[in-house]
Order: sequence, then structure tokens, then C-alpha cells
Amino acid sequence: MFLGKFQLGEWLPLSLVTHNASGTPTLPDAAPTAKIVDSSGTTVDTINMPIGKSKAFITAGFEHIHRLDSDYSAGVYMIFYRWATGSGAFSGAQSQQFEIVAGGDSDGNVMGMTWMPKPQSADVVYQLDGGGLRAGRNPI
Amino acid sequence: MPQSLATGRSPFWPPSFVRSNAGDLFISNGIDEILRWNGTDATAHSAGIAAPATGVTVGSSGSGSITGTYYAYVRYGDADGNFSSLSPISSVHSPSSKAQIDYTNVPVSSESRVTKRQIFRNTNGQTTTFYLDTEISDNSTTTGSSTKTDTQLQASTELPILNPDGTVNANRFGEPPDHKAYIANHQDRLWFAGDVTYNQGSVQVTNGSSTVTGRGTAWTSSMADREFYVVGDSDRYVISSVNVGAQTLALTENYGGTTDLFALYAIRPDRDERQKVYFSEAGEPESVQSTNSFKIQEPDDADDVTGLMALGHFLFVLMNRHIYRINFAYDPTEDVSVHPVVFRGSLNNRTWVRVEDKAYMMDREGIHRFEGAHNGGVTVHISEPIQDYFRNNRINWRASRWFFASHSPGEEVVRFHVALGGQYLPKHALCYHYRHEAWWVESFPFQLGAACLAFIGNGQGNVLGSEFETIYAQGHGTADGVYNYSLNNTLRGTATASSLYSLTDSAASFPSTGLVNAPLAIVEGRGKGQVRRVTSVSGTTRLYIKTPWAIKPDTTSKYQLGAVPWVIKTGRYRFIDRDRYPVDEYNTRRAVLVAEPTENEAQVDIQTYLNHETVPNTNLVTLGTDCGVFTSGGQYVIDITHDPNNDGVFFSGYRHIEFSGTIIDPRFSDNWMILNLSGFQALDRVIVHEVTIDGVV
Repeated sequence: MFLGKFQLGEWLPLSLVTHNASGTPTLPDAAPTAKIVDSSGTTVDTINMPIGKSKAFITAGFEHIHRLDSDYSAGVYMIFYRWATGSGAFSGAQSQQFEIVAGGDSDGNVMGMTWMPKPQSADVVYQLDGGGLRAGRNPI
Repeated sequence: MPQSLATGRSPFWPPSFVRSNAGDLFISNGIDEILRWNGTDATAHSAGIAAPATGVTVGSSGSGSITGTYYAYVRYGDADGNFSSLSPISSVHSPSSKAQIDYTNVPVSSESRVTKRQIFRNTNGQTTTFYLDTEISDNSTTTGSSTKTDTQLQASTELPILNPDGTVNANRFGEPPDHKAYIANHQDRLWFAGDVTYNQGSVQVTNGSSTVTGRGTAWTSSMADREFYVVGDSDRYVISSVNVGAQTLALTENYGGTTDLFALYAIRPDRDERQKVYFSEAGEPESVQSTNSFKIQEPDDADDVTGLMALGHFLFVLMNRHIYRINFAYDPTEDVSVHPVVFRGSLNNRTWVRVEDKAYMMDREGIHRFEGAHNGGVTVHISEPIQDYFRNNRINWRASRWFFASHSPGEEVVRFHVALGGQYLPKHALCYHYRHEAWWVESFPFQLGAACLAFIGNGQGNVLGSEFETIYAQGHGTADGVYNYSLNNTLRGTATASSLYSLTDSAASFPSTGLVNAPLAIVEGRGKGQVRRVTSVSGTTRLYIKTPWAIKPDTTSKYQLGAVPWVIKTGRYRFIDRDRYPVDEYNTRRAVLVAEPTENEAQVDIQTYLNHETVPNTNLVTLGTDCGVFTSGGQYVIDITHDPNNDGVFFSGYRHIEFSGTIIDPRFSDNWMILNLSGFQALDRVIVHEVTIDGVV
């Protein structure tokens, strides 16, 4: 399944319903893994998937939002999910695809900011959802 | 390049910022440690300085006049004159006729802001006041010495352990509470309140084990000592430590519930902490003793603290459904009082904004104007004209932690930035002109995460923080998200080719920078109304977009970069019934538009909606040869360009359009009409002075 086009700094929604050999949604033996691989076959990230917040309504539904940080660049990526059920009796696999296009910023989105006047200058101090706290002035 | 002050801050909760009276900036989010930035250091530091965990070893050497029974303490200090509390006291040392006191095992701080250590020693015969014996001006040396006699010590800086009234003095430098999410500055103190419930990801819990493993979690060391809950389990546990690298928690006791590989959970501060407000020492914003706190006792129902607000002479604690006023006269440890003021609240710490002596604030019921500085505190509900947004759940409340308010003093407008769709950061704003008491709704081409007032050029203006570390100056320039271009560059033109993900204009001269992430709108011809985001520019003639065109533009399509879509939609008006309101012989139905002619090409689209229909009527307008209205793409359009055809026939600023129809029998006629005007602003500001509708009541 193609998840769509994303840009660096965006959040990639990962979701998966694990199932047994007969295709019935079934909780796996351990957290399913999501391996994200670039077009050259290099593994960029491996994620242990958490259960979804709708656990009570969606059996074996796993959800995670994954930030596209500086480990990524423009190109096509594959996500390979793997899990096992029945104490290893069945090994499940599923794949998804997404593309990163130009125009983003791996440091992320501004999620908080303030004005910081100082004797020598004044800055805008802001936090990014990539975790950075920064101070900057108009570059132009 | 922006200066990196810190990394690894949690994206789970928006930060709270406040400046102390000394000008230092403090940042909290209830998850990470509270930071302080003094504006000159290369990075921000942890607020407060942790006291040395071990004491110093005291000895003596040589022959001299130092005789007595001595103890010593160490404390850390930074370059700005901030200190930690004292280390544990040293073992006793009793020199006799020695030349100097020798200090070894002087503790070293792990905090980079610590630039010095101070060693205090008592004088012989008393231990209530200590004196600065020596200062080590680095954070690495582990030895020191002093030749001070008691007389010389007494001339040095004194440090009483307690104040004359018995309160703590030397150990008042407690660290600010990291578990508090909101900070305010009020009467020379910093105040800390509110907490965060962290529930990102899921956990693996095992019956009989104290280890909890996270999946998709980003736990921080600050979560130690907080409570841990598992959905479906009736017990609560206390976290003793966090392994941040492995994302495991150690509980103080074994988990007693059912083993679950995929459990939902929550981490929250202790229940007694949740409605506790902390405050710093006066003039020492980083000194917060654990006793500097009080608890808000709620009179009716349990509510959560959502913010802190200093307004006028008071500090207000904001909750979802309540606002409390904090009073004190001298010292809040002794005479603080808490008063419930109103039964409205604020969604979060950013959904209020101060305007003069009032605060405009948003809660689940709507938007209200809080006049807390007057009349003991009253609030006025003001959002009735847009109350449908609250009644009909048009607001995405799941994203409410990211909502925020902004104030544009020049426009005299407050905006409440909300998410109306599925995205987590707001793209819409409920806007209120507080002089005219007028409401409208704005949409933005980008998600916005924050705003603040700043001085831009010669005036105060609003800056908006957005996607991809982009910060916009609101109201400066007319084209959204376009910068660094010249008059030679193309921002508007006609497509010569397109693909699903691109648009080409072979006559264009697109700038190589300044267009990425700008909105690209089709404003005329095939595909009109589509807005896409530019992801890259190829050469000078081709633009690539992020999402595909739903209708591919062709050579009839005109595009506009940086386009700002706008809409004026009237209320529903009733057509005049000739029998009841015989106003004139022809009962003319007409709309008049008075608009500022624009230098560059700009158009106004006209749509009408009859009765209660949601699809615009396409044949209501009566086109005359001189009415200035033409059709484009099945839509009626007025060109408001000053010289639309470059032929010297100017748009005067006035157009009127006539509508067909009349009411013969209301039961079988169209009775109501909505007029919808829309367009795209770009290089010129579109100014509509007047819209008049004739033939309606």
C-alpha cells in the first residue's frame, strides 16, 4: 500500500493489524517490528510498534507516528512489518511504501515560541517538534 | 543560522515560556527539565543548580594561629551569581595552631553552567552562621585551602543557615519543579503549576516484575517519582527510575496486575501534586523550596490546571472550567489566599491572550473576555456569532493541546488558532475584532504551531511559527510564503503544460529560492480554485507540487504563487415580496460591489445560493453589456484590476450585478439568497469597501 508523499519533518502514520494464519486479527507473540528501508536496501529505522489507542475496539491494531528526521532524504521507502503468532507457529509480514519529496525540513515544525528582547539584540526563541530549542533573528 | 539552545525536548506537549524580571528566559513543558537561558550563553541550561551530593573533606597543615572546631559546606555557583543549596556538612576537624585549612574532595558539578565552587566554614564555638572561606573559580579542581583566622572569616561573606524568623536561608536554592508544565512571572517570583499526563505509545508489563518496557515511548529522566497507571488495572505505581536509552521504567514495587505485552498506560505526577502551585523566592526565580507551595482546594468538582496567567495585580490559575485568583500581601508561604473567580476557563496555557487589562480566552464552551483586574473578576461570553463551531463539534478537540491565541495590536484583532480538520497543528483561526466586536474565520495554507508579538521594523507585530522551521511575519507583504523574489520573477501567469505533480509556464522566470512550500493556486480557467504546495522549482519554468492536481491545468489556466484565498459570505436574506413590499415597479434585485482597484491582475468571483441550497446557483445573474461582469469557468467574475485590458478603460471601483427573478407566489418562488464573493489576493491587497444587496429585506 502506498502511504503517500511526505516531506522531511513530517510525521509518518504507521498502522498495522496483525493476524494469524487464517487471517483473523490476533495479537502477536511480541511487538511487531516495522523496518523502514530506503531504495538501496539500507535499513533506516526499526520500530517496535505500540498497540493502538483504540485497543478496546480494534483487535491487534498497532499504530505509531514516526517523524521523518535527518536519517531520511528524498526518495522512495519501503516499510516491512513482521510479527509472529501462536508461539511462532505463524510468521506474518506486510509491506507499505511512501515517498519523501523535496521541500521539507528534518528539524520539524515550530510548536512553541516567544519573543526574547536582550540588550544586544532581540530573538525569537522557538521549539521544534524535532526536539530542538532555537533562537533566531530575521535572516533577510 | 538560528542558535541551538537545546536538543531532545519532548514534542508531546507545547512549551511554556516566561521571562524573569532579570531578563532570563525559562522554558517548561512538564516532561523535560525546566531550562533557563540568559540570552548570552551559547546554550540554555537546567533551571536551578543541583546541590553537591557529597561534602568536602577538611584538614589543616603548617604552624600558625588557626585553632578551633570547624565544619564546612560547599555550594556551586554560575557566572550570573546563582547558587545551589549547600552540600552535606563535612566531618568535624579540630586544628590546633595550624597555618591553613586544607580542603580535599571538593565536589564537582555535572552541570556545565557551574563556573565556581564556594566553601563556607564556621567560626569556633558556633555553627549557625558560616562564612565564605574560599572560592574556587572553576568546576574541576578538587582541592583548596585558606589561611583565614576566625576574625578574618567574620569579615568575609556570611551565610546564616536560618533566617532570624527560623526559615531556611542557606538551603533555599531548591530546583524548580520539572513536573510543572506552566510558568508565570508575578511580583518578582516565578510560579509553577499544572502537569502533563503522558501516554505516548504502549507498554509491556509483567506480573511480579518491577520493570516496564515502552514501545513507541519517549520517557525522560524527569518522570522518576511520578505515578504509573495501566488501563484496566486498579492500582497505581510509583516510578523509581527511568532508563532513557532502553525506554524502561523501574517501579518501586512489582507490578501486581495481569501480564500484558500491549498495555495502554499513563504517567502522571502524584495526586497530591496536581493542584499544587509552587513559587520561587522573591528575586530568585531559580530558588524553589519544596515548602514554597500551596494547594488549590476546589469547592465543587475536580478540575485540572491548564495554565497560569499574570493579569493586572493578580495571578490567576486557569483550569478547564474555573479560574482562581491568587492573592498575597507579603510572603506567599504565610499569607497566600486562593479565590474562585469565574466558572469559565482556558483550554490550555496558550489559549488566552492579554489585550490591555483584559484577557480573551477559549474554553470548551466558547470564547470569553475575562476582566479579572476589575470588579473582583468577571467574564463575558463573546463568541455567540460563531457558536456553531462549538455546538456542532466542528473543532477537532483531540488536537486542543496545540490550539493557541494570538494578538495583532495593529489590526486590533485576537485570533484563536484551532484545528478544524485532521491535522494536529491549527490551520484555521477564529478571529475577533475587539473594537468592532466582529467575528470571522481565517484559514492558512500552512499549519501553525505558535505565535508571539515581536518588534518588526518600526512596529509591533505578530509572528507565526509554522511547518518546517518557518516563521512568518503576519501582515507583512501580500503573497503568502513567498520571499526573496524580485520584480523580474514570475508569481502569476498562464500554464503552458502540466502533469499530475507539476505546472509549467514556458514564459516564466521563477526564482530559484523563496518558492518552496508557497501555495500555488489556479485562479482562472481549467482547474480553478485548486491550491497546492510547491515542493521544488525546476529551472525557471517548472514547479513541482506535493499533492496531485485533481483537475490538471491546461493552457486556459492562470496560476498565482503565494495566493491568499478570501471569502465574503453574507447571511441569508429574504427577497422582497412585491405584494407585501411594493418598493418599485421592477422590484430590482441587485448587488453592488465597491472595491479598491488593484495594480496587478485580481478578480472577484460571485456566487449566489438560493433558499437553503448548498450548491451555488449558476443562472441567477443577469449579464448586461455594461455591467462589468463576465463568466469564467462557469462562474461570474468581476475584474477589479485598475486597467484590466490594458486599454485605458479603467475599473472605477464600482460594479453592480443584477439578479433575475421575482416573487409571484412565495410558495412557488425562491425566497432567500446568500451572496458569496471570493478570490485570491497576491501582489496587491484586495480591499472590498462595500457590498450592498438590493431587493431583499
